[in-house]
Formats: sequence, structure tokens, C-alpha cells
Amino acid sequence: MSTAEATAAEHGDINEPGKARETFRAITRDVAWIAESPKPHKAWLVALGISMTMLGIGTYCIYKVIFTGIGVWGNSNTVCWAWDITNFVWWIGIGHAGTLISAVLYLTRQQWRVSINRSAEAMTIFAVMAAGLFPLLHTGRPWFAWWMFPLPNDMGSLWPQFRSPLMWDVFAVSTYATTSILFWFLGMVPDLATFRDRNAVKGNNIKAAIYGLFSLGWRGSARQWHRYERAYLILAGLATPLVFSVHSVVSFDFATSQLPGWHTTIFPPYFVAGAIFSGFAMVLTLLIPLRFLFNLQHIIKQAHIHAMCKIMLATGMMVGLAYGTEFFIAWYSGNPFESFTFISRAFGPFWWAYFAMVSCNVLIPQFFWSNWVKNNNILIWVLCIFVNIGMWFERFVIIATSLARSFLPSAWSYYHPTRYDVGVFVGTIGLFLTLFLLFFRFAPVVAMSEVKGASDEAHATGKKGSH
Amino acid sequence: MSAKELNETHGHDDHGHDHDHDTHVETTAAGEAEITPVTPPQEFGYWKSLRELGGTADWQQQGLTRKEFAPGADQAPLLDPMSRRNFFHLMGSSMGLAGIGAVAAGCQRYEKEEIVPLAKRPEDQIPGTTLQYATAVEIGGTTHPLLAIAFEGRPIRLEGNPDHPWASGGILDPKKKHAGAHTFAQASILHLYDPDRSTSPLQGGKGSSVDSFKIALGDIVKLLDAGGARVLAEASSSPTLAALRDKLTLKGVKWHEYEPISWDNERAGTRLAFGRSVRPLAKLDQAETIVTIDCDLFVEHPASMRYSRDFARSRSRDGGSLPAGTMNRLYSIESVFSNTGALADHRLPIRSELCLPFVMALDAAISGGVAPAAEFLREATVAPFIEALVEELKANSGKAVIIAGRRQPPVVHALVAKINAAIGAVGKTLEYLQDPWEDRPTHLDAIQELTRDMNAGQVKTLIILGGNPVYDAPVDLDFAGGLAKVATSIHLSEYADETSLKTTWHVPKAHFLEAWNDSRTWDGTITISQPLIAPLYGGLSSMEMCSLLLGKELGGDELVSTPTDDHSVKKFGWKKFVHDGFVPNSQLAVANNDLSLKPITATATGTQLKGTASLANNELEVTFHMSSFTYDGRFANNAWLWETPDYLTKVTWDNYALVAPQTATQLGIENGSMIMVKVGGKSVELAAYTMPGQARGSIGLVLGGGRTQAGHVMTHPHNVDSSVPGKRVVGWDTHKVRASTGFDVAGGATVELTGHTYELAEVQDHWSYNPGQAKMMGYDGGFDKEIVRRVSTGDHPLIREVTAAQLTSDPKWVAEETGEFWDDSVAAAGQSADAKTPPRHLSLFQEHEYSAHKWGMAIDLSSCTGCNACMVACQAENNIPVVGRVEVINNREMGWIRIDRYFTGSPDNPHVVSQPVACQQCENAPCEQVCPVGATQHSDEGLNDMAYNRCIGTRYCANNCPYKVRRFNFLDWNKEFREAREKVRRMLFNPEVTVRMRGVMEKCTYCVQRIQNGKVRTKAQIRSGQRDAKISDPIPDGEIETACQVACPTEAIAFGDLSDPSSRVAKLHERNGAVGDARSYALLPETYTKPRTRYLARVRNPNPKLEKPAKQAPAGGGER
Repeated sequence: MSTAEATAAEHGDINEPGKARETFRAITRDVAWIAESPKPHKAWLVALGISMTMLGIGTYCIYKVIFTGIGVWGNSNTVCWAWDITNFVWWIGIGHAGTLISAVLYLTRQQWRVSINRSAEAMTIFAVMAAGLFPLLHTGRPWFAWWMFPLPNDMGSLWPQFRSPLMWDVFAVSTYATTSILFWFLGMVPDLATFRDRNAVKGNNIKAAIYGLFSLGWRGSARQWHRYERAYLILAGLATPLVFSVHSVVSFDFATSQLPGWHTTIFPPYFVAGAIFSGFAMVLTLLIPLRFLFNLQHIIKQAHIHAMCKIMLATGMMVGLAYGTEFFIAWYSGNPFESFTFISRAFGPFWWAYFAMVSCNVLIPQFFWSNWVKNNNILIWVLCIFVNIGMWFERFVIIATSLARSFLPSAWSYYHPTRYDVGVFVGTIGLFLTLFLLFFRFAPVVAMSEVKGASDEAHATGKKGSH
Repeated sequence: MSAKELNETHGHDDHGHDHDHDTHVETTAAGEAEITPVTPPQEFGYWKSLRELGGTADWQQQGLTRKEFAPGADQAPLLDPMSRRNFFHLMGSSMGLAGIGAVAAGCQRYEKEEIVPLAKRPEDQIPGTTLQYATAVEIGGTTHPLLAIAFEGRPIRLEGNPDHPWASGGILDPKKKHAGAHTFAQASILHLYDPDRSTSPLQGGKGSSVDSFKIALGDIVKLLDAGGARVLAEASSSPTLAALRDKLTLKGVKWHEYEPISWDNERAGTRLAFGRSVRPLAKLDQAETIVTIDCDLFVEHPASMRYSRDFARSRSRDGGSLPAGTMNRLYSIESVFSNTGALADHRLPIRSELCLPFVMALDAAISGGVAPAAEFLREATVAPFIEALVEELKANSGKAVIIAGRRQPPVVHALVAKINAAIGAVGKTLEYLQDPWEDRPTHLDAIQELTRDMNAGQVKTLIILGGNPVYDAPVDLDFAGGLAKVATSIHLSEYADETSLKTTWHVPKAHFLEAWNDSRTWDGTITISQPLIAPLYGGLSSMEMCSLLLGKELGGDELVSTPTDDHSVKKFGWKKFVHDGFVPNSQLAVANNDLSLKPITATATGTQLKGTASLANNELEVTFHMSSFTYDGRFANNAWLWETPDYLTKVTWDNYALVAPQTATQLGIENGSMIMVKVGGKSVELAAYTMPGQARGSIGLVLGGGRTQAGHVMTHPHNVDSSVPGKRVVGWDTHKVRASTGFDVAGGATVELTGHTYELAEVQDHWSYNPGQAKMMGYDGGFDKEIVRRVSTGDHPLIREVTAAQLTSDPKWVAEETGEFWDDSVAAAGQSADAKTPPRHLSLFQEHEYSAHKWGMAIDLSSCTGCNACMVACQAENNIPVVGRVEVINNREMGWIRIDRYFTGSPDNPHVVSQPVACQQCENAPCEQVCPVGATQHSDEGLNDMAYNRCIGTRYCANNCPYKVRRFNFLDWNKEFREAREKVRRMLFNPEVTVRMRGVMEKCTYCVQRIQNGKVRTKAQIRSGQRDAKISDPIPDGEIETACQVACPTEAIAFGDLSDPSSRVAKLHERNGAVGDARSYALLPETYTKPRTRYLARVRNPNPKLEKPAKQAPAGGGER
């Protein structure tokens, strides 16, 4: 087991569809070899190279944004928010699938979640990190962004302004990030201990020490397992409302303003549905290739992909319903500003963005009715990319088109991105992918203990779990 | 010099109290006018620009392809990673790291500076406070009285001088002191601190010194006696300079006076009419009918500030200069859309050359002249117009006046004089003043004579006092060629400009704030300009130069205070004149009774006989216009003016050719097309702007662009589109096609498309969508309909109008109905009496309560001329940065007050409304709710205050502002002020207003610094016994004025305390028709922001004869 080839040779028959036997040992071995193989996979190296290049571009653009000013972007006095907040909301949305899978599906005893929850949680954390950059960067003076936190200070009674939805964002996103990290890390502790033990056996003392540090003295005793399960349940309970609250609060940035196109009560549920939609699309975007590369088809099964496709189909239609409802309300409310905003969205200067959004988010998921599509992983991957694009456009359409055509016609404007808008976005994708690739190489990418618990062998009857 | 003099003068301690329904004419092939009636434009249906009118017309901006990246994103030097300074920065750092260049790395100590108190405090100087001095700026031979505000010895602002008899007087209360100041007068202070100004003499284009010039001067003085010496001076009304001129003339020096923008046609016209030149001055406050012939009263006219004020006085129905219930009616006949045309009740767009047959027709109908056989007079838009106008002029005898513009030939002015006499205007609505220099040849004749003599080798020595003739002399004269034949030439000029490089000597001229001067306002009042600062770069004034030429080195004060004519200033109290800024009762004498009309012969010929509808491409007319940016080119290095949008086109940072939409369609021109205009063998290539309301067949060329030697502003990469081949400076030089024949209006012009397009930096329409795409979708987004709805026809239109007739028939008319859901009165009623209406608490948050002041503003759309004075005043007062052309295109202009312009009616002949919009200081401000750090807060006096230091720049406030008046510092706009050569410009900053850093939001503050100063000043005066009042008394109304209010010539902006029911603003805010003037309304009241700025509905006064009901007009053929 010193090389990847040897590992592959060892579980040769396992890789053959239909013949796989998921022994506990095989599960451990199949997950652990990714981190244990001394040479990384070539595709992984190529992917890491691309991601880090993107991260480098982004770092340069962020340097320009901070040191020259956000004037390097295309934002203007009419369209004050554009790609910055679009990217923020998009990334936060992507960060929704992880916690949903970990917490909500855990509480509802959806066993199929176990093969993907670890990577989905990691994705959540990295997406929230990428998202978190934007509220910081989009401010004119990011070095003072800490003023948004209610920190005691010597400037008299200076305090944040709690009526502002941006303040609520600060709390919502930071709470979400904290809970997600805790949840992810707690779930990883038994698996990190497994890594520690395997490295210790092989004499990789440095690795064993590092994994040992993070496994917090886990020995796998029944008492530890008991405490662990309780803590996990509590965190799942805490995280579940967050799944709904974070994007609701983010949507308040728009819903509580008075701008036509922003000022609507439908936003919280609509944003949450969209977030789950885009989150699952991103999970599949990442897992479909990695599952092939690292031979995890027998753990992350086609059935799991089916389930995720169904969720995307459902949430995609919710989003579609929201689009329709918005138009209906724009007409039904009799508010002429509102109706103009929606007509302008669909048929005005940003029509291309609107139709990109509708086709990607409403039409594309309809393919998931077909089982043939759901078995064609390449097609699923392509469709998920479209969903990711569509969800980005959804936020762009809401933000830019509403701002560009607000109350006074004399202030109407248009928005053009600059290379720095694109560069910072590319950079956050690079950051996200880099972190994810590093995670995939060095951490337990599948919750081994949970997969074992959900496998056939774990049940005395030998009956299958609810795959 | 001046510091000592200043001590002798007194600071002003206190100055605060101290559309016609047209039918279109299609000309058939046979040349007969076939009248095709058209549906009149929808009454008060507004649109914002031609682009808005949807994908229906091909003059739209189709050709401009959208770029993927914002313009300039790749070229702006602010973004340049390796500028010279950055390079040195990095070099220095690396040397510092190597330990060998501590000094280069910036580790040096600060320069040692000592602060020493003055041993003796200069009189009136209180550290930290400003002083006001009366002075004046002279532009084109007319002076504009000013108050210069100085802070610790440096002038920082210019305002109108309210004490000056020419400028002062309120609209409603003539005893109230108020004086506007136009954009050029205000912005001229920017040149004082311009680092591009000439700092030392040049000899043959190379640097020299003052000493060597003085040595050379000895020889030059001898040359004057040798004969062949000439002076070419820019126009001046200075009696002192006139005396020096006479002395030089006695020495045999011939004096020529030239101005590229001149009112000499008017002088020549009166000479034609009366045999001697006199100066007509209309008394607009007495006129009920005002007719302008190709004349802009409110911006271009030398008396613009007075005319604006007087017009507003007779415009006011209640409390103005006319009897109650009466207001004036303005007819405007013009080719290019002017501010006067925008205010007119009836405007007739015709080519400038058609004004002659038009005036002849008036003459025929009123004063017995011969009617011309001009085809256009029979057109359906023109014939009823003339008929109604003639009828009104006849009926309003003694209450009407006609004013012709400077572009019109003398014969038109003569005919106008004849008609004015026939309608009894003279002595009632019109005065003829004596010409201060009656026998002066016209500017055009003078420059022609000089150039002819230069080319003939008769001129040995030429002294050029100001002006820039190499740039702006008629192109056919070849002034530069003649100048090369002059042995010795001296150019006295503020800048080393195009002319300076061609003369043997260039001498820096003193800025008007650095020199003494006396000059006359348009009515002749002698106005004293005192310097406020010693010449920064050691310049001379024109009169000091003349004095040197006469062999005496006298200071400007010695020259000015020397008795020159009847108004011997010393005799009557020199000190008082300097303090007040004028010599009382020194107006030009009225010459009405000495004039007798002579017979005038006028004939219309050639294209003057043709209709308005269609001309062949080689029959087009070209007219030359004053630039709102540079006047005639002299303000070319003035970034404030370049960035102040043109009054009507809203374009910044380029001049352009104005083309009527129909003419554009005929010629295949779109907005932004590059066109080649050929006149008389000369041609110029420039961008076209399709201007609604521009006369058909008339191309308006705006002067004053394309200066090659103006300074950094003109060449800065921020301001010049370097992607256009051959374009190196801002704008295009339209003087290239301005010849001595056709100097103002030239016929026989040809327009060719070059095939290129150019993006003009418009501030109002710089969003754009591709109409082609919209059509592809089969739907244009309904933008034009939506703008009409929002601006005029919706429930709560942005622009509200009423006719005078309506106000007369319904004295209880209100602009804004009470009883709407957002009314506080409804809320109160709901709570008490009417049980059916639930109590209303519309705001989620507790509303504010006030114990003392509640500041508020009212803006009268009836008297706003759209002259931009408020914009420049705000810029100067509030240290507003200039962002440059590229950033204007990126929609990041920083002006705190903008003037929205909306059109209504057909593009042929639309009406225009200008609406100044600044922060509305909402009571329930949406911006305040959403700031996460509380950087924008409601003050206890009702202002939305911005705390720049607290702002982190989330821009949420701007997103949530329905009025879009917040301005964000996207980049470090003040970066250049840290460069060594630009540091002098920092002296201009108003020390009472923070210079904002990058990344913070800013907006109108209602001039909070003026409010605080006003309160402090009033209370201090009460405490020290200068004012008879109690400390607890309210601040008297009018004590505190915002900068925009001070600058407004028509007092369209009122500011004051709403908690004082007797204040002017509180009365104007009244919207209960039973009480009185109830034209007040709020913008977007349904958002329940409760704005503190309210607008007053515009009153129109159309002639019922021309205002036919829409249904009577036959249908079909409409443009819209």
C-alpha cells in the first residue's frame, strides 16, 4: 500500500460495479488511501495548479481593490452594488447544501447523506470563506470594516446601527460560519483518529502527530461515542434553523430596502430555496469528477446522485414558482414602479441576464425528470454548471437591474464589469477550489464512521439502509 | 502690494442680511409647401432623451457598440500600476531595504517649520474666519460684480455682490439684497491657483525672466515711438485702460479690440437704425411680452444675471413686479435650444438665417415694413405663430419688448429697434444707453484691419493684451501668418497659450484677483476690482503693461484711483468705492430721446427664402455658440466647467455639433457620429449630438474646444479618449471653420459622416441599451412610456405644471392634493374623529421631534433657468472633486446637486423642464435606516448628516436612496493634490468642509457649515449688542443661505427654518390652496420619505391662440 497503484490493485474487484462488497475495512482503506498515497494524483496536481493560478489572479485583483479603491470595479453611483454583492450572495447560497445535508438530513434520518456530508460541509465552509471576502472587500474602506462588529471602543458611544440589515448579515454569516466549522470538525474527529492510528502504525510520526492533535484524544470508547453522538445531535439541532435563517437574513439586505425589485416579502423563502438549489449543484459539480478520480463510486453511489438531482428538481421549481410569483405580484399589487421593474428585468437592457437566469434555473432542472439523465454523470455535471451560472445570474439580475432602473429616470444607468470584477470572482473560485482540493488530499473526505454505520453490514438483518 | 492695500479696505463684516402644437410641413418635389397636419404631442408627456424614444428612430445610438469592459478601465492612470511616482516609490523602498538610501526611502525628518504669531493683528483679521471683499471679473468686455471670500489671506470663493446696484434686488422684495453669479464668474477662481498658469516671461517660446523682460522693455518703448506699433486688446470696459489707450494713441500706437464672442452686431444694428451706436437694455421686470430673436437672455447675454432676475420678477404672478395675477409671456425664436428657449412659453425653432425674414414679417405687420417672400412664413408652424405674436405685441403696446441675439446681422437688430419703437417699448420696457466708446470699429473689422496690416508688413510692434487670437481669430485671416511678419510682439496672457508661442515675448498676466481694475457692468456702472492676493506668479495687469509702455511703472491702484473721467473716484471717496465695489450713479446715460429712426432696407435672399423642412446637404447653416464649458476657449483649463454638464445636452468634457433629429435622419447621423463639417473650404471633424428642438437644417457648432496649449486639464488621459485617432485634447477646435464672412452664422455648409463614432460623456443618458437588441425581443422595455408616466402622468409626477389661466380660474389650485395616505394630517384625523380610518403610523420607527430649527428648502421650477450656477457654487463651497471624462462615462460624477432635464412633446419642438436635485434631506430617510455603522444620522435640526470619518463605504445608503443623490468616492479623487506641482491648488479648498478620502459616501449637506456659522454669527452679534434681539430669538429668515441659493440669479432656491411659519421657505412649502401659493409638491411622496426639499410647480403662460385643444388638430403623421 505504498503506492496508489498498489492500493488500486488491492481492491480491484471492489471497483467493479455490482461486485463491490463494502466491508468496514474496505471503506476505511478506500477513503484513507487518498491521504496516504505519497504521490498525489496527476489530475489533482493539474487541478490544484489551475486553482492556485486563479487564486493568484484574485489576490492581485484584491490588492488593486484595496490599494487603489473599488473604483477599479464597474460599480457606479447608480449601480452601487454589482458583482461584489452578487458573488457574496452566490457563495453564501452555495454554502447552504453542506449544512442542509449534515443537519437537516441527519435529523430526518436520511441515511444517504453519509457518503457526501463531509465533502458538502467542507464545501460549505470554503464557500462561506469565499463569501465572507466580499462584505469586507466591497466596502470603500475595508480597513475599517471591523466597525461593523459591536466591539467596545474608546470612541464614546459609537456602536453599530442595529436597524441595518447589513448588521444582521454580520451576525447571521458569522454564526453560520462558526456553527458549520464546529459541526464539520466535530464530525471529523473519529475519522481523524483513524488517520492518526494508520499513520502511527506505518511509522509516519509527524503525520500521526498532526492528525493526533486534531483528533483531540479520540480513542473510540463507548463513552466517547456516546458523548460524540449527543454533541453531534445538538449541533445538528442548532445548525438546522441556521440553514433557513442565513439566507433569509441575507435576503433582508434587499427585502427591507425600498427599492422596487428588492422590496418584496417573498425573498426569504425564495432565497433559501435558491440557496439549496445552488448548493446541491455545487456539491455535484465537485463530487462527480472527484468520485471518478479517487474511485469512490461504491461509496458515493449513483443513488446518492439521483437523490441530489431530485432535490435540485424540487428546489429549481420552487425558484421558478418564485419568479412567477414576483411577476404576478408586480401586476397584482398595482404598484407601477414594481411592475415596471419586472418588465424592465425581462425585456429591458438586462434581458440577456434574465433569460440566462430563467433558462438555467427553471428549464435546465427539468432534465432531471429523466432517469437516463440521472444516470449520465457527464450530463449531470454539465447541467449543474448551468445551474451554478443561473443562480449567479439570479443574484445579478436582482441586484443590478433593480438598481439600474430605480425611481428617477434621470439617474438611470447601465452596468459594465471590469477586469477586476471578473478577477476577484475568479480569485474566490480559485480560493474555494484550492481549499477543497487540499481538503480532499489531506482530510477524510467521506465520513467513514457514518458510512459504516449506514452500511448493510452494520445491520444485523443484513437489510439495506435507506439508500 | 495687495496685502498692505487690503488692510486699508474694510472687510464686509456681514453680508448675509447683509409648445406649440405644430403641424409639419413637407416640401414636395415641386417646392410647394404641403401642409401635413400632425397630432400634437401628448400634453406634458415627458421623455428624457432621444434614446428614450425607443427603437423607433434611427438617430439612436445604434452604432455605439458596447464594450465588454467599462471605458477607461484599462487606461486610467489612477489604475496605472507603474506610474512615475510608483516607480520611484518602489525604487526608494528597495534602496531603503538595502540600507543605503534612507533619505530616498522617505525616512527624512519633516522640514523644520516655525509658527510665529503676528506681532500686530491685521485689521479685521480674525484667525479662522473668512472676510469678504468686493471685486469683479471682466469677461468679454462686461464686468460681473463679485464678492470674494478670503480665508486667512487666500480667496476661496466668489459670489455675486449683493450691494452692487446692477446685481442686487430680490425677486419678490426689491429691497432684499441678492445677487447671482454665473458659472464662468464663479469658476474663474480656479485659474488663480492653476499650476498651469504662466509663471515667467517667455522669449521666442523659451523661458526668460522678468528682469530680462524689463531690460527688453526699454527697447520696446522706443519702438513704439518709431511707428508701426499696434495694440490688440481683448475687450475691456475699464475707464482707466481707456485713458491709457488714449495716451498710447497720442503716441501713434493704433489700438484694436477683438473678442471672438461679441455683441457688436447689436451696436452696428443700432447705428443702422439711429445713425449712432447705442446699447439697448431691456427692462424685463416691466415686460408682459418678451420676444427673443436667436438670443439667450439667461446665459449668453452680457446682462444675463440681471435679465434672469428681472425675468423672474415679472414671471412671478404674486408679488412680482407686474400687477398681481399677471405674469410675463416669453416667445423664443431660435435655432439652437437655449436656456431661454427652455423657459419660453412658445418657442419656434428656425434656422438663424431665417430670423431676418421672420423679423421682416413682424416689421411688415407691426411697423409698416415690406414682407419678404419667404416660403417658411407660410408654413403651418410659423404662420399662426406670427399671427398670434403680432396680435399680442400690438395689444401689449408699451408692455412688450423684442431682443435680438448677438449672432443676428445688424439689419435684424435695426429692424428690431424699429419694431420696438412701434410697440412703444422705448422708455418703458427698453432703454437705449450711450455707448461708452461710440466710434470703436467692430471687433471683426478691427481684427481684419490689423491682420491686413500685419500681412502687408505695416506692423512692426504688436502688443497683445490678453486674448488668444492665434486660436480664435477668424480662420481666413491667417492671424498666425501675419504675426510671424511682426518684428516684435508681446503677448500678455495668463497662460502661455497658442498665441504666446508665436510671439517674440510672452508676459504672464495677473489674475483678476491679483490686480486692480475698474470696469463697467452692462449698464455702465463703474465697478472697482480689488486684488485679494499678491500675484502668485508675478503677473502684470493690462493697465500695468500699458503704463510700462508709457514709460511709467505705476501700480494698478495708482492707475485706477487716478481721476479718469467725470466719476473722479478720489473726489467721491475712493475707500468707499473699493469697499462697496462700485461707483454709485455711474451708469451710462439714457439716450432714448436723442434717437431718431432712419429708414432701414432689408432683403431676404437665397436660402433665407427656403422652408424649414428640407435643405440640400450643401445648403446647411452653421452657427457658432458660446461654450458652457470654456466660454470661447479661455476657460479651457478649468476642470470645474468642463465637468459641469451643458445646460441642455448634459454633455461634459467635449464640445460637439448640434444637429436636429430630422436633419440627422436626413444625413444619416446618429448621436455620437463623427462628422466632418465643411464651410467655405475649411473643415472640422467632431462628434454630433442630436439635439431635440434644434432647428432643421442648422448645425450648431459649440466653440472653445480643441485648445492645444491650454494646460494639463485639456490633455489629461482621464479627459481625452486616446483610442480616437488624432485626438489629443478635450473637444474639437470649431474655430477652424469660423471665417470672417459667416463669423456667427455661415451658410452653404456640408456635413459628411466619417464613419467613426465617439462616446460623449453625458451625465443624464450615460446608461444605454442597444435598441437593436430590444427590437429583437420585440419589445423595448417600455422605457419611453415609463418615463412619461413617472415624470408627468402618474399619480405623483416628478414634474408638475400649471398654466397661468388655470391658476386664475382656480385660485385654490394645489400641486399636491392633501389627504393622501402619507399625510400627517390624515394620520391625525384618523386617530381622532373618523373612526373608519384606522390610526396611521406609517413609519416603523419613531419619528423625529424638533425643539428648535427644522431646515427646509423650496425650489421653484418656474424660475429655474437651468444655468448651472448652483452646481458650480456647490462645487466651490463643498470642495467637490472633479473626476474626469472617463469617470463621468462610468457614472461616477460627484456633483452634489444635479439638474435633471426632461423633454416633453415631439423631438421637433419639445418643451424642456430643468429640475435641480440635491439631497432631499428626508424626514424618514431611507439612507439612515440601512447604514451598518450609523455614519449617516438625523440631526436634531432635521438634516441628514454624513460623518465621513465613520463611513466604511458599504454604499447601502445610496442603493436605498430613491433620489439617487448620494455620491461615492470610488477612487482617490484628491490624489493629484498631493503631487508637488498641484499643491498650490489646495489653497482653494474651503477649510470648513472636509476633503473626503477614497471610500466614503458624500452628499448635499444643506451647507451645514453655513448653517452653523450663521447661528454662531447671529448669536455673537446679539451678545455683543450689534443686533437688537434676544439670544433665544429664532434666527431671522434669510440670515443663513446655502451656496446654491446665493448663486441662483432668480432666487429659485429658498432655504430657511420650517419651524418659523413666517419664513419664506415655510410659506413656499404650504400646500393648502386656501392660504395662497400652493404650488409646492414633494418628489416621490408615496415612498413616505417626507423630503425637506419641496418643488414648486412650474407655471406656463401659453397664448390661448396658439394653444389649440388637442382634439381639434387633425390626426396623422405624428413624430411620436
